Amino acid sequence: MKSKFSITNFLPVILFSFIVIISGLVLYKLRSSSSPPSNITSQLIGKKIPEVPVKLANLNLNINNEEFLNFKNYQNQLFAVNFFASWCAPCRVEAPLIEDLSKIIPVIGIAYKDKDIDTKKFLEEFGNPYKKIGADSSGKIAIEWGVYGVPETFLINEKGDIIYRHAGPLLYNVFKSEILPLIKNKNQ
Amino acid sequence: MKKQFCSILSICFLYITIISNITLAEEKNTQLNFLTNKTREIAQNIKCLVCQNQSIDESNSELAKDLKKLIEEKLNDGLDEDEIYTFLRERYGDYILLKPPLNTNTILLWFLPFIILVFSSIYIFKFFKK
Repeated sequence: MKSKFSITNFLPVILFSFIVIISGLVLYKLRSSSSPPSNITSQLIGKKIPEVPVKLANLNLNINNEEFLNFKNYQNQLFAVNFFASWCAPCRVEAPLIEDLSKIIPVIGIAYKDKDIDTKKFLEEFGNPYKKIGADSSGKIAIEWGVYGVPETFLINEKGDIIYRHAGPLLYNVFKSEILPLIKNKNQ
Repeated sequence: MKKQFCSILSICFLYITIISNITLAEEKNTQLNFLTNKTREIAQNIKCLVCQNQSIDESNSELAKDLKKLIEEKLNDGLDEDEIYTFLRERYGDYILLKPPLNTNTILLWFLPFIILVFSSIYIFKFFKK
């Protein structure tokens, strides 16, 4: 009785290690394959640009501004859509890289929950790399695009399909390892 | 004398704690009272993507506020609960739901507790039988 060496004595330990190993494997798979919480995979990849109309930002501060952004003007090539805001600190961080990106492909900006006057000041300070700038003062356009925080950058191919999304500031390693290869692929 | 001072001090702290709780609770209520109950019910099932693991009902982040407004508008437009969940899932994925839906990725997540329960009850049953 003192030390009966049988497999049943170790059953809880075996079972426990089994569960730990299985859950470890599942967690590892989840982390490596699908959605790490810091960069949730966009549901819009492979889909068309959301049809919601985007008003142009009124940078000249005219009283009546009823012009809309027309994505169709860019749809014969790869182009980028960048959600930004003057109040967003990471947008300042990524500004130089957006500038670089704009030298390769057209970049359209959408000012998220921003006043036109603040957008204007931001662009005066950091330069304006955008071909056109839309205004999303209510934040509704961002929701249509599945944006959960600025800055976010989308790549759209010549058919008007969204092929890539990066949430958070564009950093050099992302720019080099993810965005540039996509652009090169299209040009070949 | 010293003891008395200590107890007064602790009563003061207790009082401050209670009061601050009440004021915080009231602030939350005033911020949300423009929303209907139905909106709040749906909002409780939607994850706040800015401050993950909190529902947008509890969250005061800008995105959470916008999503609550949007849910309210969609309800007024006559959409039902499921249509609103579908709308959000099409844009943000299953990840936006606090309760993950049952699919191949989450099957273990849902059934592992039951498997553990079954195995452990078998073990306990055998243990006591001996």
